Amino acid sequence: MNRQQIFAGIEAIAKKIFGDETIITEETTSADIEKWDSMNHVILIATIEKEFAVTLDIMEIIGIAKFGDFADLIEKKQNQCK
Amino acid sequence: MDNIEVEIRNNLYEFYDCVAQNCGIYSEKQDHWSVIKNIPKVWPRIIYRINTEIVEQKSSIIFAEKVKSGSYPELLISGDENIQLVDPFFRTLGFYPFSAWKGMAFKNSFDMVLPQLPETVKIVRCESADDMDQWIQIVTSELIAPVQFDKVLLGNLIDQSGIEVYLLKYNGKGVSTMLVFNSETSTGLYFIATKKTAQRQGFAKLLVQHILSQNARKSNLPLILHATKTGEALYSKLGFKPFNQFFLYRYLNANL
Repeated sequence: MNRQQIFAGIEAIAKKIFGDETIITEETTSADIEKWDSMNHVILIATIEKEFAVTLDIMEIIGIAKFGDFADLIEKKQNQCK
Repeated sequence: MDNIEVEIRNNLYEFYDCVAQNCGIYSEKQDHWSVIKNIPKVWPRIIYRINTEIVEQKSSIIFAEKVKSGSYPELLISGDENIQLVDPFFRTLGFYPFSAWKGMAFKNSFDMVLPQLPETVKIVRCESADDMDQWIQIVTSELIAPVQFDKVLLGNLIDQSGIEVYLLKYNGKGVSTMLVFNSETSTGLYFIATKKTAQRQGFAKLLVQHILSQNARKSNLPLILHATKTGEALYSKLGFKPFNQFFLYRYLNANL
């Protein structure tokens, strides 16, 4: 899966949680999305882990600030598996 | 600042104990954890504070049973000791990490100058019903949504000795909040928040500076707080030093 495909997957998950009208870019942060509270953050992490079949380390999770960070982590995990 | 990490942890735990014990909220203490329970949709629904030794003790079984029986917390706070060991245990039970707080401390200095407030800014002790409503609205929307801060609980906290609740007003409207919890050995700053529309204008900084200098005049106890990633930079600039970390979990009771 390339970077573009990874981000498309993340975008689809995010739109499902935050609404189809939500604009998702690599730079989008929780401050940009009103519905991005702690519960939705947890749902987002759990869904991404499930859909991409990865487990994010706690230190990785707390370092996430924007959608691009999710893509970076998944890309890194995929490369580690190769 | 000897044992400041212990102080940072104890102030946080004592604050939650104060909420539980003095405000009529059910609290059940076990060896390595305690539960604070309130009504649904209102903060604090249930909070577990966790000593990470739990995973090595029999109490982990009791804890797991409690969670499985439906007594799961809205928020779970874990210290950073052995977090890599504890994290998988929490996840097995359905808890996901979502954030971390950095424990920070400030050493009082008696020569601190009280900051000059602009005429448009006033800092008040939150006592009137209107001030309480504004305080709750800011804390709820900026810190604890989707649950709401309980007004009765806030009223009870305001009446407690050792607790001070502040509201910073700009042009007469509340924009920033803070709750001060004084333990015997430290002063903890909690619920520091600024209304979204008033952020990045220095209101939280003014409020913290005001409390720091006010506190310096009456006590030499360290001031501690638990900062989010965003807040850490602000508090560092104000002279707070980072120490230990606290991890926040939420229970995910859903089929994804």
